[in-house]
Amino acid sequence: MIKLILKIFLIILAVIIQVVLMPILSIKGIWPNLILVSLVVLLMLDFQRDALLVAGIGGIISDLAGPFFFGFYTFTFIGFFFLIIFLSKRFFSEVNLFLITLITFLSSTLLGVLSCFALGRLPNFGVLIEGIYGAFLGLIFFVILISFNKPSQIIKIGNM
Amino acid sequence: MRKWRFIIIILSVAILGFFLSPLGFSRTSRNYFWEIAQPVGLATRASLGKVFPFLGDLFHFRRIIQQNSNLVKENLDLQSKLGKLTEVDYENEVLKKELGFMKSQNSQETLPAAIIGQSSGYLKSLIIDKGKDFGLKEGDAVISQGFLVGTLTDVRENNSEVTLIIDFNSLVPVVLQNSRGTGLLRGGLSGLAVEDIPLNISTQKDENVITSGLGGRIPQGILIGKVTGVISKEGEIFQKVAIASPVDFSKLEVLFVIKRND
Repeated sequence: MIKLILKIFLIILAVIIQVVLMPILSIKGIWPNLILVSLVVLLMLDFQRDALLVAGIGGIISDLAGPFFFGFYTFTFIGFFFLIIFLSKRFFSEVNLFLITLITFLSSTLLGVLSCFALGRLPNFGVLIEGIYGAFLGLIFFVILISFNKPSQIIKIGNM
Repeated sequence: MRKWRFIIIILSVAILGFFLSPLGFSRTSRNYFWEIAQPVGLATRASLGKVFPFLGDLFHFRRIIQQNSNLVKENLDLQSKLGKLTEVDYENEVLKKELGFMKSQNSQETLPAAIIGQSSGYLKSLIIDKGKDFGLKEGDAVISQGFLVGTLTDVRENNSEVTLIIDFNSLVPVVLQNSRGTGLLRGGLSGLAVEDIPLNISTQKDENVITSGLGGRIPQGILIGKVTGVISKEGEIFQKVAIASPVDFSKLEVLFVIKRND
């Protein structure tokens, strides 16, 4: 129970960092979504329970902070959760740096496109910046998580 | 099974929040979220917010020296202009008294506000630490270094959202100071621009653009920037000019809200 509370607290902290610290570290006014990046990396490393917690709680808290209609982040993150599980089952069985980079890039870019549509605008080059920046952060998260876990534990993406 | 239960609960909360939003749910919840985030936001801006821009500036040291020498020259020039304007202001007051004009009442005050954070990079907006509790209202002008930077678009109990003038959705009625052409200032990807200027107005390069005070709660005469050139094409029924603001919108620190007492 304490572990769960700690995880929820960390997710809330991540959302606060997302809206408070990340704008300072923005590139051309764009920064990636930490919740999405951590969701992707956790899923790729087969931490499905944690990834679902990040998608659900992170989505709700992001909706409390975000400029979009309520539910935008929750639906998007839950959607990403299922999409990545589906892709993992279908197309790849092993996790490597290239795959992490590719999936975080595509997810971040897609979130950028959806954000633009939610604001009633056409996507611009900013979505690519978000994708590249997201992929870079994904790599950092991946390396951090790998260093805390044995590589043998994180090979295959399991069943839902 | 527990996973599906969790997903259903989360989605139910999101759907409930979506339908309760028109009743003011999202405004209240956002107010609470930003109230919690406020101490972290202020501390981050006061510490890391100063370190990162400084590190970035180290790479442009040469440009900063050049900029500094230009600013010293400009400052001297402005000081001489200020001296003349003070004299003109005095003469104006004397003439007004002679003509029996009442002294115009200043029904506005400026309120300093600190930036807490930003909710999205695609929406050029900021969250500030002042809200209805300080008497702010939607549409109030926000300035930085004397220049207009945005307007309040969502005023909550303890914090507010400022939509910057560089945002695509921002629309501010302005006037070109020398040619007296009126138009609408709009932001966007290609930068600031004043649209809808009548064709019979001959705009000048480097003339100041100020707020016209027409409509809304933005007072008249707030400086926005300078005209850099005409960008409208031949055959268009209105003119469009590009504007350069001296404010670096990515390095805003303390803002001032112009609160109108009406």
